Amino acid sequence: MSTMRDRRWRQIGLSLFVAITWGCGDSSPPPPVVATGENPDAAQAAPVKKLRMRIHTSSAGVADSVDLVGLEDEDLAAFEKLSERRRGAALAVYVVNKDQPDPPAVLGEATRDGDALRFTPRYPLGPDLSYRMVLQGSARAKAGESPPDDISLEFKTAALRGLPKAVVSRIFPSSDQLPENQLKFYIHFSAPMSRGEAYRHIHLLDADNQEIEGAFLELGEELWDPEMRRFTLLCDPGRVKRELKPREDLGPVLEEGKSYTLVVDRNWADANGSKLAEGGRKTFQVMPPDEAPIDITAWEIEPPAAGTTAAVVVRFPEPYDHSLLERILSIVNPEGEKLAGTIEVSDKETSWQFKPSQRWEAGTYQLVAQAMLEDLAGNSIGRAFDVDVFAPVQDKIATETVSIPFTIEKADAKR
Amino acid sequence: MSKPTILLAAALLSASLIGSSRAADLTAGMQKGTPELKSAGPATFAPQGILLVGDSAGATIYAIATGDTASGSPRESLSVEKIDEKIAAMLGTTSQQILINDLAVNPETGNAYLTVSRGKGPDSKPVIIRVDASGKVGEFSLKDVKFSKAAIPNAPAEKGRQEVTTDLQFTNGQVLVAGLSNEEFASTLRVIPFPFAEVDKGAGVEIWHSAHGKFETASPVRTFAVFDIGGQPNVLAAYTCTPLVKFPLSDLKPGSKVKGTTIAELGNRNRPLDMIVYKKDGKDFLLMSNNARGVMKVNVENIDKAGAITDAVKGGGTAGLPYETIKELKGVTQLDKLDKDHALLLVQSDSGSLNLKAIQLP
Repeated sequence: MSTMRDRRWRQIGLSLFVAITWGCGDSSPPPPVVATGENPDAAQAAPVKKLRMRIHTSSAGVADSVDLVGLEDEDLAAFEKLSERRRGAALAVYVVNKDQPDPPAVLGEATRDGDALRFTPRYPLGPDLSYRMVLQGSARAKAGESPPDDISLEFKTAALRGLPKAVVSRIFPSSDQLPENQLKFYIHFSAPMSRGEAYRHIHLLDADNQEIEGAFLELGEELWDPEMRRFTLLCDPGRVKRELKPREDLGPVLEEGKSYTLVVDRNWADANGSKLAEGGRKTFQVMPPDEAPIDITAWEIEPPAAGTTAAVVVRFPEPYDHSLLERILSIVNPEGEKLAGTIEVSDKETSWQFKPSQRWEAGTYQLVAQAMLEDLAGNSIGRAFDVDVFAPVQDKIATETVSIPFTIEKADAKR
Repeated sequence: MSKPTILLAAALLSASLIGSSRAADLTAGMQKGTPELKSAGPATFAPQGILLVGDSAGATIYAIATGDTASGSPRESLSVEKIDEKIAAMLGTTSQQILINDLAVNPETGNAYLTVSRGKGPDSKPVIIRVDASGKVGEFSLKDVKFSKAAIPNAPAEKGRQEVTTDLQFTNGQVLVAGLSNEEFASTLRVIPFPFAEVDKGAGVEIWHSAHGKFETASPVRTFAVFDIGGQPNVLAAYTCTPLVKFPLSDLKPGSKVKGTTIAELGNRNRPLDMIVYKKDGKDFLLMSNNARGVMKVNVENIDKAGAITDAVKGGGTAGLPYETIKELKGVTQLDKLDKDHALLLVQSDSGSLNLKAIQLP
């Protein structure tokens, strides 16, 4: 790999500094920008006057390729004749970083394109960064003559502008009363976020605004949804489960009767590297621990009338996990087919509504729930989060789903 | 070839860590092309230079024939300062815009492979970086390689669900994959026969551990290693809620409920990151990096005699197998075995930059 140091540059003294700006909020791509610059040694490097750079940007506003324009035709032709490997060595781009005087070349491909030599980076160049393009003198060498100096041009890409700034849009659970063994929080954002710094920006404060240390399970991988707009935060299970060492040493994360605030600070970067426009806070009271499995016999189903597309409403005696409610409950018709429709979770996650896309017909339907449904403390259907093996052990759920029948009656049969 | 024959061949390879011309060609059923990874997370090596990479975003495990060849002897002096900045520069960006997700050393060559994300948002690109024994850093191109893949079953990108692969290991002709969902809290350890079959998606098992004999809890496995106890391969697993447990590899059967035996309690605020097993002066040790206590060296010499921890550990102490903390090793974020005498570490310096360095196994 060539680096900036191991190539002894015989720079021609050209310092061409190019700033390219574009607005990302603009749907139409900006035109290629032609670089202009001062050439302090113009007198001794006359042919170089014509040299300029041309940046090609994608519709997303990132630099896809960089052209070096203004070379003599014979230089372009000579470059084109080089092998692919030699071309890559002869024309290279480097990130300019004062902390790294000897960076390796940016991965990419060097080609001739019409009147220009083009460098196409493997990955688009980043915004607001300085780069240096170097064309080795040997690539322009003429037979019988010593090779001319390297050409070195520095350019800078501009910061992305006009981007929407992300905010914390929701924090689940919605309830402001949570069990002592609360297991999970979901933090929703209005725009995609970045990975790798989550736990630095999440804080749990007690009623005196003192931060609780070691409250959360920190996973290097971080738990995001595919769009990176929802972050899953787990309370340290070692402090949630009974009789594990972390809990013995530090006590539970949350203590019954006390009040806490979950804080998401503004310094968390979104996917574009911009800080949040607004953080998030959730204050809650801690209730007794919930150590009982989910009991589906306590669910209340309110069936609508046949011939309508009104929602069937299921009410729960306690809040359940918001994300699981949106995914793992469904309605099956008398023929055993899963119905299409829309789901709404409301009333602080104690109500689940399903509105079918087709009208209800009279008959017996099934509400089907996957057994993995969890309440706020991680207890699932038929199984507590902690299972006391000295007490009678609950049988392992043999099936992965449970079904509750309900009847849709003909409209005239409804009172 | 019958399945037992494949297993036997793979087991022999695994035991010797040396490719053999007499062994089955594990790349035989692979296709040639460019695997389209959506992300590159945990990584490990199978025999014959096959790099296994967990792609959480794509819910897939890839097996990539690297064709890796040795380029000099692995040596303790292997050191690459600010490797994050070097990699970032190659990728046309700064170290703030990359993540190094895992480190895997090819035991047959001593070359290190790093799985990297270029960018940190949902559009980040997976990159695989190779560092040879002389410290030369370069991209391992995925273009036109031989590869195969196995989809992670039951991990559809249904609405917001995504399953994260937290660790994977190759052993005895199988790939073990530990996963954690961003929704339901449960532990799955999948066993996928290797070479990957066309349809066989492996079997998920549910891992529980008994903590102090009183409570059984399902808990995600954070990192694990395979270790022979009394001639039988066992899984040593570190859980997210801190116990270190063991269970026989043979217990991992499709759909089974495996109960691990807690053999050590490693203390609070202890986030296990990586672990390796090795032998020194005739004794077996486990080296484990974690966020709170630096690198811990656990003596597993008497692991077959170690009873389960049956009482709660109180008073800030630890319990179970004896261990010591290697004080001079701080900020270790990734760890793998370089050769029988050395480990390769990715270490975060005080300035925040990452250094790759080899050490003598303690």
